[in-house]
Amino acid sequence: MELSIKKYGILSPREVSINSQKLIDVDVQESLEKSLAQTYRNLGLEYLKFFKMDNLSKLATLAAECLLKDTELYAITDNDNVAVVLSNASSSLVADAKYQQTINGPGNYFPSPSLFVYTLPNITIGEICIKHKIYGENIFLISQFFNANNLYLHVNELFEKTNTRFCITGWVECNETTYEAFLMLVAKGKSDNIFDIKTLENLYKNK
Amino acid sequence: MEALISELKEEIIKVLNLEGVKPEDIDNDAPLFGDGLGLDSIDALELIVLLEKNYGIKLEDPGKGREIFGSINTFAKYISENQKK
Repeated sequence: MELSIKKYGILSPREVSINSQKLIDVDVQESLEKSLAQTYRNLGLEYLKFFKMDNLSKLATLAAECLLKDTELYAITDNDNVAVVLSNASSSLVADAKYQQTINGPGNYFPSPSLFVYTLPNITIGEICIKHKIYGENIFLISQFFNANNLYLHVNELFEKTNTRFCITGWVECNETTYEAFLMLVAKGKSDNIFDIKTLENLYKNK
Repeated sequence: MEALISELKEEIIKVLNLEGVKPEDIDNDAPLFGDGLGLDSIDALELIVLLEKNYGIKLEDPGKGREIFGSINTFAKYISENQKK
């Protein structure tokens, strides 16, 4: 089956781009929170739930927004054939550590429900699916580095064995010091970028 | 009671990450859930934690939350009558 990358996007503290074209300006901010909030505002988003999310989910939500904007998926309300396959290295470790601080000792044991809900990386997929009403297959993969082979195999399998028409896939890494998202919209058919391991590696390497 | 109401509004905005909301935007009698501030079930759980952490009040019957968290006024009244800290 021939699959292609219809769009791809990069979101980092230094760059927000789609298909290698700058989408919005970003200024260096003093914290990751401020950087993500600035990107939210520069994109003109109005989605107050964003401010309740952990940084990983904020990153994934913004990256998906950039990717899906101006596509036929943006306004569709019954996306049961859209899949999401994401990956990263740090899982939800930052949220895990913040939650741990709320249960550190018997004298300071106030487990925070709003932190707890983000102590799984696949919650980031949930946030994307809620925002865009996506009901298709999904999986979150953890690997030490961007693993083109893993993503290729999983996405290919979804198109082969399920009713998947589109797949949002890529890398959304967020740790204590920085963040980086590289997302692609994959579909059946031809385009300038074939969905294969070599292209994935090249696009990620040249970002 | 005015001081408690004012403190409560500040705490709610901080704990629930209510972006762009200022204390003066919150009507003392307006519902906190539904049409009011648009809070959700996770926010309700966070308010239960706030009650215990800041005021030493352990909500034994979560079913009472609907009444207690009805508005800023009902929330403040419950705290002032049950506060242990």
